[in-house]
Amino acid sequence: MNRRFANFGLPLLAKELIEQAARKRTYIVRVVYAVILFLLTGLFFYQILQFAVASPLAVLGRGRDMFATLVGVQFAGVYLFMPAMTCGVITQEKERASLQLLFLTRLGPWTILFEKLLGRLVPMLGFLVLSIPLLGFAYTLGGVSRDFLWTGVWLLVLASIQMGSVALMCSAYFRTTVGAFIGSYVLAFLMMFGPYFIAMILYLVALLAGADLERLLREIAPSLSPDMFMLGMFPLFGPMLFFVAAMLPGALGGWLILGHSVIVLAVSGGCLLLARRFLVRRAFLPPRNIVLDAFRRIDRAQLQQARAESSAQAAALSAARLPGDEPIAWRETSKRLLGRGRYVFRILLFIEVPLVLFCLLLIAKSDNFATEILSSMMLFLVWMLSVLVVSVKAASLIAGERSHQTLDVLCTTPLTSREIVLQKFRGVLRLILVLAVPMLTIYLFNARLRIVSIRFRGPEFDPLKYLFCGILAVGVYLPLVAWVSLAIGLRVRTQVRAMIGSLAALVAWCIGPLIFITMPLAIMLRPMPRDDLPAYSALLSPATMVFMNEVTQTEPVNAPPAIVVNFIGYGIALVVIRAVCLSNADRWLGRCEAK
Amino acid sequence: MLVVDVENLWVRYGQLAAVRGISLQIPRGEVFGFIGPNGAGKSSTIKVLATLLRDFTGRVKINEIDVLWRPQAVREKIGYVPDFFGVYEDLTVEEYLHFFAAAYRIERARRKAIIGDVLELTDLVHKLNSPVDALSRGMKQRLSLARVLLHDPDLLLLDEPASGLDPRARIEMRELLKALKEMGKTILISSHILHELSQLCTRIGIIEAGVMVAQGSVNEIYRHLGLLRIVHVQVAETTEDLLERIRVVPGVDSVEPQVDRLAIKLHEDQTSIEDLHDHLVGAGARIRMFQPEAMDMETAFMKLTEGKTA
Repeated sequence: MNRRFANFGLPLLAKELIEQAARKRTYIVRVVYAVILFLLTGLFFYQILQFAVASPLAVLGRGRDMFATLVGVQFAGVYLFMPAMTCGVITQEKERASLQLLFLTRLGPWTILFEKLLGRLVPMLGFLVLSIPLLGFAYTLGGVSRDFLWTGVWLLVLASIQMGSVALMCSAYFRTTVGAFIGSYVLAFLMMFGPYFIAMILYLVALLAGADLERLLREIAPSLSPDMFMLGMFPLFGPMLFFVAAMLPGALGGWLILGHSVIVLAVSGGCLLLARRFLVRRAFLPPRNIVLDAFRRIDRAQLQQARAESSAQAAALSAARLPGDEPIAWRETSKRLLGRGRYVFRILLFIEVPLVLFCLLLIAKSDNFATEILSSMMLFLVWMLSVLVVSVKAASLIAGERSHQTLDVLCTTPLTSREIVLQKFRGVLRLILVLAVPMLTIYLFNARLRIVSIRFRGPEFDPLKYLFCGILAVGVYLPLVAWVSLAIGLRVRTQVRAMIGSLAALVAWCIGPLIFITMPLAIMLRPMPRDDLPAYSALLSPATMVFMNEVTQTEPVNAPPAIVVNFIGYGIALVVIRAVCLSNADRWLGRCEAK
Repeated sequence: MLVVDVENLWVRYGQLAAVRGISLQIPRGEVFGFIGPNGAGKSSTIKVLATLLRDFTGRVKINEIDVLWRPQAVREKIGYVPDFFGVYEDLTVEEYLHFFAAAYRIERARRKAIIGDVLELTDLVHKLNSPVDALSRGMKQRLSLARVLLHDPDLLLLDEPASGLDPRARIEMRELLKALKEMGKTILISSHILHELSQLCTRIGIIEAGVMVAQGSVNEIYRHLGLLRIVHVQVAETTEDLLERIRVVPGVDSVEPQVDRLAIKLHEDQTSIEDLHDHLVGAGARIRMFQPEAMDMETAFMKLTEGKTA
């Protein structure tokens, strides 16, 4: 009995929690999170009090919006940060070569996985607990039924488990934290929106083929309720169900939450099973990039063919693989997936062909409501993925050298710090150029779609302005994201911290101004006749222009002067951040500075 | 001419002073061994010389160039091997060396020949196309040495180059360092393998808790510490009379009869090894074996450092 109890000591979990408790930043992050939540609640309450001017009773029943917003913010926190927090739990052990030591202990693979998962779930649930007083406050204002309250809390816990399991699986599968980081977000996104995208594509294809999928569906399932439809479209995305329930009380049955819970828990269980399978099998993987390996095999075949045909051509091909005068840039470009022109061409072909086909499908059915949602969703998806990839890549540039203990050697060479940073950045630049191609393709097709679609803004839609804004957004924001992330990666010691720090900084920049400036202004200036100020203040968030350009053309921020000022502002920010990085490169790289 | 000139070097990490007023001078062609327990300040001192630390005080010059004022010029003059081997896992040996040849701004036309030379010196020619990651630890360390020799630096800074190596790799590394010494390279090397340092280095500095506690040639350090040399002697017949005659020889501290030999502790500054031999013959000893024990660096190290760290 005692022995059994002793085995239940959860040493890994204890270690993780003690480590977290010993870090100052744990408390700083918690305080910042609490401040955001409390500020948000305060703003809402201020807004609600305005209704009380006429009658104090008017306040009653207005807790629902506050509750929904609080839960919404926490959903965003879970989906944004749970994968980032969890994706490194196994990969870091692999990178430090300490996983084999764990295997040598009495801890079994399941114990390792569960303790690692709990080590991340506990702090995340701690964040959720922070909001309990506020949820209680919203409940007291009325409008929140007990079922709705528990639905919100339960869906948040469920989302935490789901994201944790997905990221844990990726952590067990991938060799590096960078791979696990990107893999976790991509997989999470596919889980959340994949079924909807597939359904919409099928729907459009069926329409193009002359089949009425809606009628077919009605014939197959005559009693298809809205609940069932929602569950079918978003089986793994809790917020969608929660917000439908918030907007249309009573529209969705309780069994929907049950069905969603069963599916999410089953998928999470599946992820854990896969994590268990990968944990040992993929514990000691050699470095490998399947796509790059395939490209190199093709190269080798070409080299052999060239040798057979002409020795001069073969010598040229062989010499091209050694560095010229910019060794770091050479390694950042030629040793990567986007290393050579022909690799870039192949990858672009791989991305562009399905993308163009999909866009053509949208244009072919431009009279359908689904095209509008799909085209915008696709653009936002590509934006999010691009920002994620660029940020991770840029943040890992220097932090990766530190993690692999290669930075010191590089820093004792005569290369200046400015050269090191700029040459390292060359790979990111290439990545940005490659990502810009599908983004601009989507902008181009979206502009065309809006011209031909009768459902869009009609004469109010200016395709040139739309494209101008889109091109500037790609040209300014992606390098800005890269330099912000690089600056954080320069200062932070580990890759994981650099990636999470960059992501947090970008999210804070996108959301912070809206929460701390735009919303208070909008609420406080509400009685005033002129409310352009909150709209313009939203431009302090770089995400505003991308969003507004997509959803409307008539707001004040859509006016050409606002667009120009916005991008000049962010262009200046880009130049300043780049200059700060380069001028502080010596110090941030940890080198002696020339005086 | 001094290649390294350090005067009153202080390195602080927050409240902790890792190096406290170290001074050392290394003339051209000298191999200087840096000995000290973990955390004594060896790596910090080497990092200052390698221009990898900014927050220090004191005068640090390499080839008359101030590290603090002209670090970029200093980087042209040094080759630094850290105590770990960071891996560029995507490069082959050839690419790795070409990478650093380009980083050291060696002309393209000369690179191939120079890389061939350093690979030959480090006996890695046969590994030219091997991935760096696939090399053994010993080979990686030799590759590190090949890297720092590419630009023919005036000073090699080697931080624990033999740590973690198996005996064969350690011997190979020692032979390589001896070859570099014969080539006239100035080397600053830190190590825990005291016996090897005593064989290789012209001078040694012992550092403890950030302070240089002794500096000089191996013999100077022994003299400074008053350490005794043990001489093992086997004679045909050991008698009490013979033992008494040996004990009165000047400089002999004690004579300890063992199973098959005598262990004589000798103050070398009073009587040399050769004179002791003469005294023994004069005392009527018929000598079968006469073997002075190698200098005991470990004893010196333990006596000086007392196991303290900074």
